[in-house]
Amino acid sequence: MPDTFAEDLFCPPAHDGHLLLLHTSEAQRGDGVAAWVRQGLNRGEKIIYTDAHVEQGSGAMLATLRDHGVDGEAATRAGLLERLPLEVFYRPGGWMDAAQRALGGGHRRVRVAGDARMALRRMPRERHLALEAAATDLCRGAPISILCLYDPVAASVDHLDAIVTTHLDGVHERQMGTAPHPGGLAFFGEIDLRNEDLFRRTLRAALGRVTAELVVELSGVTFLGVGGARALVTTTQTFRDGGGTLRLEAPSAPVERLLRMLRVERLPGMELESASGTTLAGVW
Amino acid sequence: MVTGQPTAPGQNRGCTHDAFVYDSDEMLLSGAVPFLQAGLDCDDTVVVVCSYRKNALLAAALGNDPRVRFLTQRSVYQRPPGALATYQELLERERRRPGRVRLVGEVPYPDGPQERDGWFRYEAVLNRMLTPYPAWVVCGYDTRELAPDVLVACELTHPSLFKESASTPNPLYQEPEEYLRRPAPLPDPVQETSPALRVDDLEDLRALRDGLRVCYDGRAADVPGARDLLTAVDEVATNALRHGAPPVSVRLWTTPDRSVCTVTDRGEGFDDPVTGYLLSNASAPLSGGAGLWLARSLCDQVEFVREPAGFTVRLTVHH
Repeated sequence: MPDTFAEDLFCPPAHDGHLLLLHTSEAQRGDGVAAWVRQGLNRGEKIIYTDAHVEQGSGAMLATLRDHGVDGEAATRAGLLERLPLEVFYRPGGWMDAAQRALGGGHRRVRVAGDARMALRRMPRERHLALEAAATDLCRGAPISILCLYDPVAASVDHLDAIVTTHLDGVHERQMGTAPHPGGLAFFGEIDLRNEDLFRRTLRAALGRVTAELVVELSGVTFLGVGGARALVTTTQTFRDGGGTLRLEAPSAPVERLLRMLRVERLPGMELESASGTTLAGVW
Repeated sequence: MVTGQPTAPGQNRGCTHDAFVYDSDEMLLSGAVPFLQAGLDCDDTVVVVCSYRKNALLAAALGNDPRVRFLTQRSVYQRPPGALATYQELLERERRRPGRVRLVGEVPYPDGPQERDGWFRYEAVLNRMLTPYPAWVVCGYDTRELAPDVLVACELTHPSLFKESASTPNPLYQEPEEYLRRPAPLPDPVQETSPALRVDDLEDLRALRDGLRVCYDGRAADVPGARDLLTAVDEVATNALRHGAPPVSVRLWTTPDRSVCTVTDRGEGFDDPVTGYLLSNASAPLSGGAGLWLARSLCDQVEFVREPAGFTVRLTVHH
């Protein structure tokens, strides 16, 4: 089936920050990048990227954009799209200096797209993770957004938990995404067998950021089955056993019905707050 | 014979599941009231789940004793798995008390033969669910209201009969495994027609959900039962992908009055006819087996067909 996820993926207003796009095919990767660049251009932001014609499997940005109806050439001529050579992009300072230069040159906001495959060929994993942590800080302190592209099944990227932890501003994959939310994070999309593992990792990473309560906003989740409900329960078990609270906010009616049928809200340390503020009676 | 007379707390902790066949209000009251009153006298938990009229009748006969819990049939008997979970939750909670639970309940038998059959099965499964609990459950059967097949089934699914406020063994009783194990269900006639959706090698559940929604013109939320069917199909298909043998195939047939969906994998499936009826822990359904339990809770019928070619779960909802 076509990968049509991308246009919705970056729709939530709180999309800015240090974002992760996990892709398992070139088509997904292209969809995600094009949607992200299109959004940046629509907002008049400066976009800095790198790509490698020579590296197998990583499509050149301009061609990808063209395939998705985005005129990258025009944007380049207008100075809104800037390609850095790989060796410049990933050297110390690299893209960070370029981003700061763009801001100093009058651009209000900058977005940067990096590809973990290329990064990991140029530096050890530890250094790469340190760079990711620095990128998170940079996004907090300056009007910069970064989209990191990862192929989770690639052998070089088995450190997914660390990756997710450094990208909690927004974890995106084909049918699910997250955005920041007061006290925790918001999920949107569809959660099923395919992305249950990422859902768990993201919840675990979010738990690492809170002490007493984690808020999980669910209004954008259009599908969640037993596996997703079980993930909400089991990943937070130790946290809740230790006195913590998982607050599930504003689930859609079908998701709320499922959670209540499964008695999730009755478990210790679990709170379910309806979108309507009322409880559903007689779910059976 | 077990009588309805009081027993000391802590004694008689086993479970009893009686059928109480009666043909008049007088007979209901003369049997149920002493039984329930005896429970109140020895501090048992006393619960009544009958029609509004009979609940009121029994409440008055018991002097409107506030210790008796009256539940409506609607709140308990929506679908068999939900009813089983409701009772299991109640029994689990009350197990911490010294006495036992005495319950008089009446299933509001529906008109459709298949839905009725679902409730016959429920009575059979109830025997297994009750086993660990100190409970005396008396199921009322009012011959004035019930079809003959209900009375036949009640004799096969209750280990004992309730007569003159006492429990006597029922010689016709069949163990649940025996009662529930029936010849493989026949194909629904609609399965002879061309399906609205046909997936031969399922990989992507989201694509399946989209495909199913299209079969209802994107208006599944407006078709009674359709959205529940979609949720149930997802759980069954998830099980097939996770535990079954590939390839997994899915078919959906829709008619104005019902939808039938089959999910087939090439594995052996499972052989326990009680699968999906009971939760290992009703207070925490997610502890295991929740997918099929949910499917049974959401569909009018869930049937298993084991064949050499594979294992099929057939889900039916009536619109």
